Amino acid sequence: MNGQIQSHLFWGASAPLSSLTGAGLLIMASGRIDSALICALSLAWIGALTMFAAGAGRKVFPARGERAALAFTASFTGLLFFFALWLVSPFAAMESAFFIALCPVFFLGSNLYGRVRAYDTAEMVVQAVSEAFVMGVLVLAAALIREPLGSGSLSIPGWGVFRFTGTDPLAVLSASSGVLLLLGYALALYRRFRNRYIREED
Amino acid sequence: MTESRRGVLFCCAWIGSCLLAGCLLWFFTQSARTNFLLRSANRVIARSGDSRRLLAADGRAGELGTWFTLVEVPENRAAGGRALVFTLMDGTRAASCAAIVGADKKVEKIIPLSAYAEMVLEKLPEPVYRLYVERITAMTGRKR
Repeated sequence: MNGQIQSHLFWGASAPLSSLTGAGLLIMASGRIDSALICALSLAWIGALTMFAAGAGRKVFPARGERAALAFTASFTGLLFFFALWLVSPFAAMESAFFIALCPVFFLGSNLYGRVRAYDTAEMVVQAVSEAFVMGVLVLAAALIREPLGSGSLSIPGWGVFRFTGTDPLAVLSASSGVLLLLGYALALYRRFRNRYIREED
Repeated sequence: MTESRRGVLFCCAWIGSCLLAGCLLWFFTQSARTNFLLRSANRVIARSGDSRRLLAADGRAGELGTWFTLVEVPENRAAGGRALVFTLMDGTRAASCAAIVGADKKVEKIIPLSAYAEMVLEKLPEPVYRLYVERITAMTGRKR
């Protein structure tokens, strides 16, 4: 096994946070809590189904066209998730369409398949769901800061939107620029703790 | 046939299958998706106290969303207008809305279709709101 496969799920250099494509997803999906949950579900769905298909077809996949086939498989599973969400709530699907389309891009950008292709299919699926969980927790954490402070509300799936103030306490946080500020602070904290973690591990 | 050529063919077949399955799924579920949207939107419009309801999808999907014909309830007679169900974007915030367009092809009002959309519409800057109204009005003019 190489170093990339042994990379830590959260602190490692190949962790989801290291992926730049995650930033776009974070900006779009962390505006509200229900969007963050849909994003986490979407990532888990796309990751698990794509890894299952890739694991099953690994023996017949050629080495050269593998990534292209994987890209189309991830996009197709993303489409399936969109349809499933539409059946549950068409409005939620309409409001989430943009970041659901970003999920296959994030999945491919994180190069998960390249890191776990030595595993068996079940382990590949577990790894995909674990990474989706980590990214989902990050998006949810950002949403828990952005929505109450930026919009003065909390949107709980199935319960509606709870508004505790008529104004926006920190309106900048609900805008894209706000999440970039938040991302800057989060990355500074992440690097600090990652460095400490790596030193302790050494 | 060489191993690499067989691999390339397999990849092309795989990608083609994904595309074909996606297109078939999109095409054959079009009416079911529209019906789901119609029923959900009608529930919200009924709650808003409007006497009109969406009846059926009106032609092809537009640039912004889906057009529907309107009827007056309980008489069930044609209301003479149309409604566009679309997603309004304000920065990173997306809100599902229905724009009611009267017989004179002017946007009468924009109804938020979710609790979050209601909040977004309340805080929406006036120029953004006017931009959407102008855009929908222009689309109505172009529509056959």
